[in-house]
Amino acid sequence: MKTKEYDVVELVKRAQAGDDLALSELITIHKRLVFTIIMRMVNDYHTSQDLTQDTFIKVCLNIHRVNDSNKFCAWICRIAKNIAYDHLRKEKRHRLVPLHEISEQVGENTMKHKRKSIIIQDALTRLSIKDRMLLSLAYLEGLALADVAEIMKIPLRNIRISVHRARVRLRRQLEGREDELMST
Amino acid sequence: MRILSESEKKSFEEHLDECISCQRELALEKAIDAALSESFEPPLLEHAVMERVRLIRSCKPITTPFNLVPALGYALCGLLTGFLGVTLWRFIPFHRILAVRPTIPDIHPPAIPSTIFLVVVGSFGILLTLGSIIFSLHLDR
Repeated sequence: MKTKEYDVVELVKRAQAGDDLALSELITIHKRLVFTIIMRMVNDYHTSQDLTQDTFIKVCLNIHRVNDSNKFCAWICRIAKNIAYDHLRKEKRHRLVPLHEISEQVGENTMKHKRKSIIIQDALTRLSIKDRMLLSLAYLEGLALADVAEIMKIPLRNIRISVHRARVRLRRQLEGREDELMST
Repeated sequence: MRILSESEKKSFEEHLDECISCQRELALEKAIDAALSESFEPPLLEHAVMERVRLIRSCKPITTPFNLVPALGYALCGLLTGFLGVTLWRFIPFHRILAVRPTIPDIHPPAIPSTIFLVVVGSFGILLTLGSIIFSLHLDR
């Protein structure tokens, strides 16, 4: 883990010096994280693809503004969050994607394996934007709670309780689907 | 987060062995955790992003007469807001609203606007105009 962090710091420095290869590597390292955050928020594969691309373009064009390379991951997540928020604000409505539509997007075979994830995603879309973002970030691998607090602009001492409350609301949305969730 | 002591942990595990409701609850929590921790497979986008970044970098911001259209629009809005805002503010009878009429002399505006009034309104309008031009040029970029 330490080596990975060190690599990111080095890559950021190289990218700031104008190395496009380093930029490309940074995209490869962080694209899963960014895509997952945006996908959780937007719940549409193609839109998420476009927004992920927009996030990385913004990252590439503004990488010289990164002062603390150790917080690069949190910085990227903040950009992804802002882009997702902007998109949802422009949409003005949070379209609930029906399950059959998701199955068309991800394919029938994947659908069988990913049913649990789809149930959660369906419940997430019924939460507020803030709760959705909070839960998406809190459960992502590689992000500490301190990073989540910074991205969400919530005091560190309140972050656990905020996540807990969001999770309680998620649980409420899952009522009646518990068996389905556990059986898959 | 508070971590259970050994004795608490043991008694909880004993309870869990017997209580079907708690077993189900724990299984559900684990299922939610697992589903939330899952990540989505991202598409291949490195090449597309780098291409677009190179394209954006190679494009220099070009100022054409068309850029001036939104700038002038904002300027007009700023000017109107300045005139209307200051004029309305000037005509609001604060002394009546605050009911302090007996102690404050009547400051109702004269029929013909004074030079100071025009200077204040004009300055405010100019400031808003400049601000809106800068803002519109910023948006353009």
